Amino acid sequence: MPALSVNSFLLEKADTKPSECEDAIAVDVQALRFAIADGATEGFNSRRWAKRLVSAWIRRPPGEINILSLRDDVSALGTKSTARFARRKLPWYLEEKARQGSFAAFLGLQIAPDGRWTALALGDCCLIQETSSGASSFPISTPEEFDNRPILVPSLIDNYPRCIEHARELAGVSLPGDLLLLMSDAIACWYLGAAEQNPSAKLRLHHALAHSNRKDATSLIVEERAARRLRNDDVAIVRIEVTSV
Amino acid sequence: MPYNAEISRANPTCVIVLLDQSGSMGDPFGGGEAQLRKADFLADVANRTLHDLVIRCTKAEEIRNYYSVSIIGYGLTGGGVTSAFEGQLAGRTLVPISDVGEYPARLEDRKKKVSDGAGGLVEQAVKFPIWINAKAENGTPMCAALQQARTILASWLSEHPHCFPPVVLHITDGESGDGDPTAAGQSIIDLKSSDGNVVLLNCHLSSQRAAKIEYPSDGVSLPDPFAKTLFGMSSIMPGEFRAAGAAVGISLNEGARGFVFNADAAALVQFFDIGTRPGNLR
Repeated sequence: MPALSVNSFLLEKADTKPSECEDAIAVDVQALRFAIADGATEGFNSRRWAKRLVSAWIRRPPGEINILSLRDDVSALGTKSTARFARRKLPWYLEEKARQGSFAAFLGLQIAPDGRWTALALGDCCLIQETSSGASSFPISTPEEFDNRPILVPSLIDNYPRCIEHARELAGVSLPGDLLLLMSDAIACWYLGAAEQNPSAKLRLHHALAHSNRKDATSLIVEERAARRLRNDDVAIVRIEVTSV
Repeated sequence: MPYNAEISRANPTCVIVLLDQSGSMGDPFGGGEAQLRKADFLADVANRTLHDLVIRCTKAEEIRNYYSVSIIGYGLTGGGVTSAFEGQLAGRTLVPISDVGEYPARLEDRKKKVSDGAGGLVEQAVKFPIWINAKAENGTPMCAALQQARTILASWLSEHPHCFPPVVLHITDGESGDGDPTAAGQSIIDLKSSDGNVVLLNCHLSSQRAAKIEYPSDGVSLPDPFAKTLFGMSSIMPGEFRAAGAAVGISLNEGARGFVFNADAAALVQFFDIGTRPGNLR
């Protein structure tokens, strides 16, 4: 069983309320499961959908995780989610939104007791692994690859059957001293781009996260947003430091 | 860099639609092949545009006030210029988008084709909101309508000096009945926020079976002085709006003006889409 030091951080966009944050995080250190999701603002109640996706990931019974299992899980979750609002009488504009469904980018990580890991992603949430020999990022590896129209996880997956073709799966191994970072799109883009040019900012983020210093992490993000190096979007980060395997 | 201000509840923007509701709008579209009056089709497209704006601004379970909207009709009885909203919004010149969503004049039952989840389409009953009814009467007080739009915009910009620049969509089928509109149009284009000048787009609807001219860069190919007048008072399309054109399949040159002459039904729908699509909603 690997020993992990885990910290998570969630921050809403500037000028919005914490209750409007559409990013979501779920962590179960005992089960070695971690997930982040980024609800699409354009969707119907995508905030709740993002929360449901990450919660379902960490509550999933033990078993093989792959793209097909992700599809089945999303289908079942979407059916439950749709049934819940179908009982409500909605104004015309929410009826219309509900017909379109909810959408979220999703990244789930499962670490095995021997340190091997499996990640599944659909959308632009990223897993960045930093080892003594360098860093890699999945499913997006450079800042230039982020755009505003990624394929997302829909609540009505039967209406978007081809979306699952865009899901990605990656397996890897973590060793003592490695860092695994789950990040939603804006902060991942910053981390892979602007922060690479500015190691002190990167260091400051790690220091704040490792010490659960929410105030300093928030200040850094506010400063980077103000300098327009970081897009004004919700931020979700799970930082996992592998201390032993 | 202009035209990149975020549109947010703290920094909303404004959309004005000027509808020619003069008597000639009762004529059939495009020489009659569509079997539809211009006024009817225009009202339908305007209602659909409002519908789409409301949907775009609906986040979580509320309509966020990213826009305020003005729909001005001109040509009404008495040669007037007035709000074209009906029902509870009647008489209001500038309405936050949340009120637009909450208070349509009525909801019509319509059918919509949606995915059946197996690669096909099924018809589904939907509620379609109506805010504006088709009207076609009297003359064409275009200058007065443009002046009213300018008054609304000047007030808006004094309260929202850093907003994404407001957009004015003007749809007409005939020549101005109250003088040369060039100065009134130019006075709108001259207004600006810190993010750029107001964008005035003009669309001329045709009663003839005539070739349409979309977003020209110069006035050389325009057939008459009236077309040249509308061309002259149309904004040069900013990059954001050219990108919106590309998104609906229309390639716009740098220097293209926001002007469509002899628009058919498809061109009118695209005109509204291009005019209301740009903007980074937060």
